[in-house]
Amino acid sequence: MDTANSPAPDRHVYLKYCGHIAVMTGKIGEAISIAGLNTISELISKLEEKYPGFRGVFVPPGGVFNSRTAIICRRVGQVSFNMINLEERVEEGDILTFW
Amino acid sequence: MSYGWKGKILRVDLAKKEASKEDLPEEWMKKYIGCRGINDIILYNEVGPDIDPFSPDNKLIFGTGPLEGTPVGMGRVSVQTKHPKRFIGEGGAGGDWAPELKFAGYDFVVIEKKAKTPVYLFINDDEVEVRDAKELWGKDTREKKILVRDKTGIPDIKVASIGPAGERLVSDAKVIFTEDHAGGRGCGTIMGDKKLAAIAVHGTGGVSIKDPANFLKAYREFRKILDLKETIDVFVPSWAFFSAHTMLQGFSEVGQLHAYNAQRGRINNMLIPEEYLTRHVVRPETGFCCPYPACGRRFEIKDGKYAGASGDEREGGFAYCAPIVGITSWTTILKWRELCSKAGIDQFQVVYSIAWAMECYERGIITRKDTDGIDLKFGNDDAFIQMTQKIISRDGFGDLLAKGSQEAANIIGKGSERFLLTIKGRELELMPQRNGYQMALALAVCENGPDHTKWYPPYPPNPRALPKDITVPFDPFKAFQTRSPEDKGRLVKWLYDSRAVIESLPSCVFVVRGILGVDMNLWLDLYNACTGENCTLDEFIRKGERIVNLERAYIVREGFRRKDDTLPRRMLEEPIADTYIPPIGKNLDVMLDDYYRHRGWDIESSIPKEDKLRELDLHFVVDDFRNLGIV
Repeated sequence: MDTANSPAPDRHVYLKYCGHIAVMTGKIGEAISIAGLNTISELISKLEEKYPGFRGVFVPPGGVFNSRTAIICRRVGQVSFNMINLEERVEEGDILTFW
Repeated sequence: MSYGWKGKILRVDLAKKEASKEDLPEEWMKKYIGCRGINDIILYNEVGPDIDPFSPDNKLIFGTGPLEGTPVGMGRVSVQTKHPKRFIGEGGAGGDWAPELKFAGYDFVVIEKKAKTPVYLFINDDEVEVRDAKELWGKDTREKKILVRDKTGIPDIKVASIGPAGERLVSDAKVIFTEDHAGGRGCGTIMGDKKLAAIAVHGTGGVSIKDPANFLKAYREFRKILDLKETIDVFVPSWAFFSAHTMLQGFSEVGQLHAYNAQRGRINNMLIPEEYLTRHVVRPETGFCCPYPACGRRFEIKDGKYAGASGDEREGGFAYCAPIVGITSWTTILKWRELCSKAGIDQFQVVYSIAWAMECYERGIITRKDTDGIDLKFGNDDAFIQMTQKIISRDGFGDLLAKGSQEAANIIGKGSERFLLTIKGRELELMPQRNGYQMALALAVCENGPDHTKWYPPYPPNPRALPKDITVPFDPFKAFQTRSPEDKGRLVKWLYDSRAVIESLPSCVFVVRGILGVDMNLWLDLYNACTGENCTLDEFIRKGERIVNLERAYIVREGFRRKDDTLPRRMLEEPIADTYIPPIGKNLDVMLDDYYRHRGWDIESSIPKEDKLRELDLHFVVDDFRNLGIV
């Protein structure tokens, strides 16, 4: 089979929303494509388009990223960790919990 | 007059059915702040190592502090005794019982001796009476409350009572204050041993504040820190608006649930907090002046086999218990909450004891023959409820678990002790260890078993969000690295000392959020404005350090040493199966050395050194240690 000219496979992450974040999104979880996205900052911007105000909650104006929120990343083969850097990479299959 | 204080201790001799009042020593107010701190000195002075926990000479102390009766006190009471396992049995509870005691004119109640037949204590301002309680005995805590109200004719009287678990001397029974506020693991057991069914309080006084203007100014700042828009703490939205259950998901993701007796860090089909909030919660139900409406909630089960079960639920603690035994049903866990509250039994003793038995059952160490025919597998809802009822009634296998899982393992043997989740013989209280080294250390060194409230909350706020003008006696960036032993000694010392201050004011450690957990200046402003003291920040923290050292001295006098400051074997030796998180291993020893060094305690034994005790003006402890041949 010739795969050289096939489009790159779509990549997905699964997102979970807790408490007041679930109120903002109206759901407690969803799968989402991260095609063309590399960092958590870019993913948050994408979510801002779906849920206006989303970015401001996690990156308060003039404030520190995740100073009053948390994003927990579960990644295959690794201990879960808190995302504290906006340039943190997101990867295919990550389970990200927005709290 | 003493501002903040009423200045009175009420002593009650149950054998003679007599009560007397005495002045609260001013030296104690200055050295030990109040509440937990003054309870400590009373227990240290009056219940020595020669006194058996079930002796009539053991005492039961209910304490408030200078800020109780103000909004900052939040209804907190500290109840204390010598625990059946000989360490300090102490616990705080909220509600509205403690402010009522202050309004009646007392800061402390010391219960002495034993009654021959069941009694209850009636306090109505100056009127104090030990009354017959035959009608109350055998009733659950809610029935007792209603009966006391009927018998006294005072509809808004506040009642602290024990349930059937305390009456039957289940090892960690609690005291239940008014609306399902529980406190003092083991204190309910000693209250039952003294045949004291309840303490009913009604007061009509108030609390005087020395400098109301500055107190109000500090209190406004206090509330501002807890505001969602101002906070630098991820826990504030959960606690203030959506209930602590919302954190279940986050805790599961980081693998810090004690699922299946802490064999795993997560559970499939976990309880969904939104289901609880939408289906079962009726209204918020918090304690006196609590600023967090979501911390306490009234629930009712409307349909199904547990229809009609109801109660008050706090801090999310019950939902976090569900994974320990593999339960995934809200109605089961809420029914269980009702059972525990009405029985006055400690939910942690029950859930960890049953989880230990479940693991033993699944590994074939015990069989249906041992469990009275119950199929005691993880996730079996009916078995969980049935075994809880058996523990409360001390029936069959339940009688064994009512002694606590450590003692049950001693009796059963066959290697079952391998699966215990106990510290100093007492069951854990949810807190993770393998992925939270500060919590592991704090649990190991706790003077009253694995009590999480003595150092809670364990997290510094996000260190990058910490205001630059706040200095802390530890490295907040290292402290935030939860699976490194580095700098945890200084962090845990700070947590213990600062929380000892807060619990002795008293206030509730569950509102210690944002900078309230790292900057003690606001607490100091509240204390000084209320009492008229001119205490400095160093002196303030030193009072907390003194309280912790006195508590350590108490358990040293009872024979506890470094070997007892340890963790369950599972935490030290086993990884969390589904999370890639390794066991703690020798990191605990590294952290213990660090902690004792910063404390000024002997590293080999954990005994406070003489120069540290003298520095803290605890000269009498030095004398005691010498007289008892401890040093």
